[in-house]
Parts: sequence; structure tokens; C-alpha cells
Amino acid sequence: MGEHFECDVLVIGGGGAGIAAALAASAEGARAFLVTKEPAGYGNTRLSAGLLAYPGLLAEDDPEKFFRDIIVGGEFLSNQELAYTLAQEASQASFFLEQEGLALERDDSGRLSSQVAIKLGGHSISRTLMNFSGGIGFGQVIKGALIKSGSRFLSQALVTKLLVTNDRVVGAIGLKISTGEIFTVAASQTILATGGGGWLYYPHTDVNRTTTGDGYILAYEAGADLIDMEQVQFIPFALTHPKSMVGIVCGEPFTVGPRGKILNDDGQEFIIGASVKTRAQVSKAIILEVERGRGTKYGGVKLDLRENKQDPDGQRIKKTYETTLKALSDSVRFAYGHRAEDWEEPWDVYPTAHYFMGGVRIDVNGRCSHPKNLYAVGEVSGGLHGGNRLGSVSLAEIFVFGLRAGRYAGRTQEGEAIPPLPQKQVATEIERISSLRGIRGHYRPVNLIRRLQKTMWDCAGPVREEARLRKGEQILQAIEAQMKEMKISSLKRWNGEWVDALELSLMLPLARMIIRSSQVRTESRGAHIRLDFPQKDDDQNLRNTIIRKSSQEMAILTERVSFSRLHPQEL
Amino acid sequence: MEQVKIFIERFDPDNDLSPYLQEFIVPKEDRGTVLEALLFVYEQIDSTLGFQFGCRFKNCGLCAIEINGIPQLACTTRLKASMYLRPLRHLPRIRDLIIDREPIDSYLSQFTPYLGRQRPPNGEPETFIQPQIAKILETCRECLCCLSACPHYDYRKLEFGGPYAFVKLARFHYDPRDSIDRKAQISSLGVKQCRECQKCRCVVAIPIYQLAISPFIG
Repeated sequence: MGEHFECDVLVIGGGGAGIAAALAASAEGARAFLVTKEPAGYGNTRLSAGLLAYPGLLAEDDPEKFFRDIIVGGEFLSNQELAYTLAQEASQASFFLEQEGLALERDDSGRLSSQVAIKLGGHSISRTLMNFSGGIGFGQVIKGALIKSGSRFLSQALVTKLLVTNDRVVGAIGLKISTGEIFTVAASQTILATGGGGWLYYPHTDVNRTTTGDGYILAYEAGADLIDMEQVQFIPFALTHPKSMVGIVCGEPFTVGPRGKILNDDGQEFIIGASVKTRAQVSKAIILEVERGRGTKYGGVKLDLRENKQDPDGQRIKKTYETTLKALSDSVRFAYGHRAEDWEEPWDVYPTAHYFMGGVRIDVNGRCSHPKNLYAVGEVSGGLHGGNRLGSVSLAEIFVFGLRAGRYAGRTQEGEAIPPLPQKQVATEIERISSLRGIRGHYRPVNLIRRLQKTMWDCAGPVREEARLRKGEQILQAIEAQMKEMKISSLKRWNGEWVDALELSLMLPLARMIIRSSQVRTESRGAHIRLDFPQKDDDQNLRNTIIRKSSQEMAILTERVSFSRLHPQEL
Repeated sequence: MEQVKIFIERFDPDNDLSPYLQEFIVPKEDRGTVLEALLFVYEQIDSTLGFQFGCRFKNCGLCAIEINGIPQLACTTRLKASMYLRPLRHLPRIRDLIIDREPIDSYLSQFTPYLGRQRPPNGEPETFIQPQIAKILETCRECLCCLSACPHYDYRKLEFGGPYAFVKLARFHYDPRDSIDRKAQISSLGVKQCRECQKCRCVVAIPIYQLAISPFIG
């Protein structure tokens, strides 16, 4: 057995939300301990384009307008209290980050002003700020802040299970990947900040390799509710070829600009005004056009930006692609060449899995209703964005809710003794993890994962319908049978097959959740497109899908959405 | 499809006496990358192959390895026949192509690798002008290719921080909000030992010598 750690507040996940939570808990005097699969500060915060929402930058903007945009953009599925909290506090994200060293792009007099704000799809007003180094700067700042705080952390460590005693999470157990040792943590409060699950759709995803959605299943197994798991955002513009670049993102609706066009294979424009539409709206148009057989030979459509170069606003967007969004331009050049990079040739594009709107159900302090000492913040949490996330809102969300949950957990733990770990659960999990190393079977875990990923893209991807969803579930069951016959080498240090197998045991039930929720939502709303139910149901009967573990089975039910602040009729 | 031979350095400290080269035959995809080849080996031939990757395009820096002796990102390097793939030199290896970043991080953590403010922000938000040099230095992917390319650097030689450390600290030197004497830090990290060979090429084209070394030697 490897190391055992004790802390007041355990944070699982080392991106923006996790590090913010650890810092806030420490500031309350709690002993925080952060565990992350990557090096600390890595993950999708660091890979993001570094676009940050800042409501109220322009005089005409205010939190009310931002709140409305979130609710309308999310097609009314959102938890309005979460959205309201975010709208009120979003500007705190930039203050926090810049206090720690981020330097967002400013105007010539050194100010964050309307001159530097951009308007992303679904925002009614320009309120998005940029960073020269993109998400890289965010990653460096959060890593620096963690080091500065002196908080203990463990990296390259995969948590496989939360330990639960009497309906309370008392700690966690997992594998330290680089050494092959099992570790345990005892904690009074536990905060999940494990990010999304886009890797389930590889290669049709732009997320990091470790984004396997672990936290959703850790929470589910511990007794928490999950909400709207069918809502997976496919961001509209990603590369379609060559093979190594499939799924890499190159833009969002704002990229279309004033004069850009989205064309089918016959050169016809099938959606107009895309630059102000939401990602869900633009992706849906592209997906259905290709579904009708009008896609290119790569299965995409054409994004033609040439005419933007003759328009001052278009030129402004081109400038951002040469500076703050240079990473996107570089990927276009690598895949399609210099002319495409210069906007002289259209880009072949198709949506890619980018973000999970659904997730662990929380209140405004990031708390699960059950177990009471479990929290979830950032992409792993659900309900804030409803059926679609607006660009630049996630980077604000992770800091607002990361800080809130860390503060709350840090205060709540006061005086609480660290409970002992449940020895039987620990022993069972040690046995399960250890027994995988060196098993002689037939299937490479990575091949089973590839089968799962292909199934998710084909059966529960951008387009869904009952027959495909059922087929998906059947294939998942076949994969489960194959999981009993995996072969894994007996290497101890950084055994990729061992890690694959452990991640697969978390990815498979997550895949099932997405399929089940997709089956239950018999309408097309937000990111969820049902070919067999192409219309939106009546907004009056709008319901969230809820998943929870009940008597060892995955139970799924629906609940009416509470329009606590904005009613669909008010529009 | 064309098949090409590649040679990958293997080494498992628990089982091997010394590193050895293993030959693999992989398909050459249209404009295929070295990362693609590594994934092919892992998925179809030998799943004990140890390598790292993250974002698949030039952002996370985790797939950095030596390709024909040159430190580069596997995800942005086109595959060619008879390539030799080795782990980044001068850095501690865990297994095969995987190096250990933790010693580099903990070494650097002694040097306040975060903004050292003496004064609080002059407003919420602050008004200040960030020089372009600081922004360019901030684009560092932390891939550690430059440490591998530097002929003078070795992670065990604590008196010479190496290009990566100079880049990280110089970024704060140029930031008007930072109050720490970064010049003194960079000096104490042995910048004057730099042989000025400029072999520290950066995968995202940061001019390391011009921005983070030359101004601190004099």
C-alpha cells in the first residue's frame, strides 16, 4: 500500500475550479489537499482559448442582461439560481485571476474597456475579454497560486472511488500513476472539480486526454444526483482532416463575423446570421445539413471567411486570430495550409464534443443535496448552462463557484474530526485496482475504449434517435462483457493499460447515463438533437432529466424546471 | 498505405539493465504525425509503450520527446521513415518516453514562480500596460524541450537553472506589477554560465536567448 493523507477539505481535480476551491478552503484555515490526474494547473482550463466573460464592462451591460443571456442561451433548462449567482459574481473571476498575475488584453491606455471586449454567440452585448497567451496564461496563474499557497497536492493521481460511511463522503482512494502505488485520503469535506467527459467522443473532441468524466461517476456512486446528462455541447467549428487533426477546434459562432458564410457541399448558404447565434443553434444547422446528405467528402461543411477581410469588424476578428487566438490559426495552418490560415480558402468544419452542460446537481455553494459534505464545481457540475453554454462563461464559472465551494467547505469543516476510513471498502477497492495489473485476457483496454468512443459518436453524438440509442446501450453491454477479459501487463510505473482499464470502468457508466438521458428527453432542446423528436416540447412542461443510484440500479426521472426568476412567457 | 519503420527507445528501470531501441512498423497516414504513430503502436502493437500526450495540438506540451535528436512536440511533427524517438535528455526519466516533471517544478517553486506583488492592484480592474515581451514569454507551453536542447543543462546540476527557468522568471521581470528582483534571481540561477550557443530553440518560437538570457548576462 502506498501513502495515506489526511485533510479537512479534499479537492479532486487540478484545473481552475479545483485550485480556486483549494485556495478558498485554505484561506478559511482549513487544511486543503488537492489530487489531480495531470500536473497541477493542467487540464482544459489551460487548453482553453482563454476567453473570459466580464458582465458590466460596457455601460449598457449589467448582471441582469447577462443572466437573461445565460437562461435564453440555455433554452430555459438552467437552474436559475446558479445562473443568477454567476451573473452577479462573474466579474470576481477576472479580479481574482489578475490579482494572481493574469494580464488580460487591455486598450492603449491600459484599461479593460469596451474597445477590447468581443461579442460571442448568444451574448446580447460585448462582454468577453481575451488573453494574449490564451488559456496557457490561466493555467500558469492557477499553478502559481497553488504553489504560493503552500497547499499540499498530489499530481498524476487517479481517484477511482469516494469512500462513504453513513451517507457521508469520508475520503477517497486511487492510483498514483507514475509509481503504481495505491493511495488513500481521509477528509471531512470533498470537492469534485474533475471537469467534463469529452474524451468519450475521441477523436471528435477538442478536450484533453484525461477528460474522461471521472467525477460524474464518483459522485453517482456516492449517492449524488446528476442532471441533464444528455446535454453535451458540440462546438460548431472543428477540423475534419487529416486524421490526426479530426475534432480539433478552430472557432465558435463569433468566428463567422459580419460577412462569413457557412456553405454546404453545393456552395449553398444554409444558415445566416450565425455569428450571433448560440453554439447549439449553429451546430444543429450544420449537423442536420450533413444528415440530409449535403456535406462535403469529409463529412463537414464549408466555413468561408474571405469576405470578412473587406469589413472592419471582420478584420478585427482576423486580428484576434493572429494574436490571442493564434493557437486556433496554427491548427488551421497545420491541417489545411497557409491559404486557409490567411482566410483565402474556406475551412472544412464539423462540430466536435467540447463541453458537458449536464453534471452533478448542486446548489449555489456547490453543494450536493446528498451526500451533504460532497461538492461539485466547474464542468463536472450541472444545471448552470441548461441546454447550451455561451462562450467565455465557463472560465468565469470555475472561479466563482470554485471559490464559493472552497469557502463554504472550509468553514463547514471547523471542529469536525476526520472520520476513519471504512476498512472493508478500502480493502475491496485495493483488491479491485490491484487485480487488474497483470491480468491475462484477450482485449487491450485501449481497444475497448476506442470501441466505446466510436459508439458514443455514432449512437449518442451530435444526432440521436431511439434505434441508435438502443444500439449504443447494446454495444456498451458487449464492452462490459469484454472488460472481464482484458489483458494488462504487470508493469508498475506508468502502466497505460492499467490506467485505461480504471478510466474505462468510469467511462462506461457515464456513457450509459448519456444514452439513458438522451432516451428520456423526447424532444430536441439545446445541444440535444433527436431526429425522431425534432421539435421542442412546450416550454410550460419543461423538465430536467435526473439520474441517481437507487437500489444498485441507475434510476432516471424527470423534474419540472423551476422558473424562479425568468419565465419563458416573459420573452 | 505506406508502412515506415521507426525506432523507439525503451527502458523500464524495474526490469531493464539499460535502454534499448525497439523497431516498429507503422502506417504513414496522409500528413501523419509522430503522435499518431505512437498511438498506433500503443493501440495495435505494444500497449506497454510509455508515452504522454494531452491536447493533440501544441498547447499542453506533454508529448515533448526527442525526434532524431531534436526535442520537439510529437503532435506537431510529421512522421518520416526511420525516425528515432527518445525521451527528452537531461531530465529524469520514469519509463520509456515519459520524463518526470515534478523535480523541475519543485526546483522552480523556490524562486517565487508567480507574481510577486508588493502593492495591491490600483483598482478593480487595474490599469496597467503589460509589455509585449512579458506576453510572449507567457506563451511558454512548459514542454521542457529547451532544457533538453541546451548542451549545458542537466537537472542534477542545480547551479544552472536552464532556459526554461530563465523564461519563467524573465516573464515576471517584464511585468510592471512584479516587485521581486528577478534579475538577481536569474543571475543566481547561473545565467552567466550560458554559452550563448542559442541551441535552446522553442517549439512555439519564443526567442529565448534574445528575451530571457542575453538581457540578463551583462
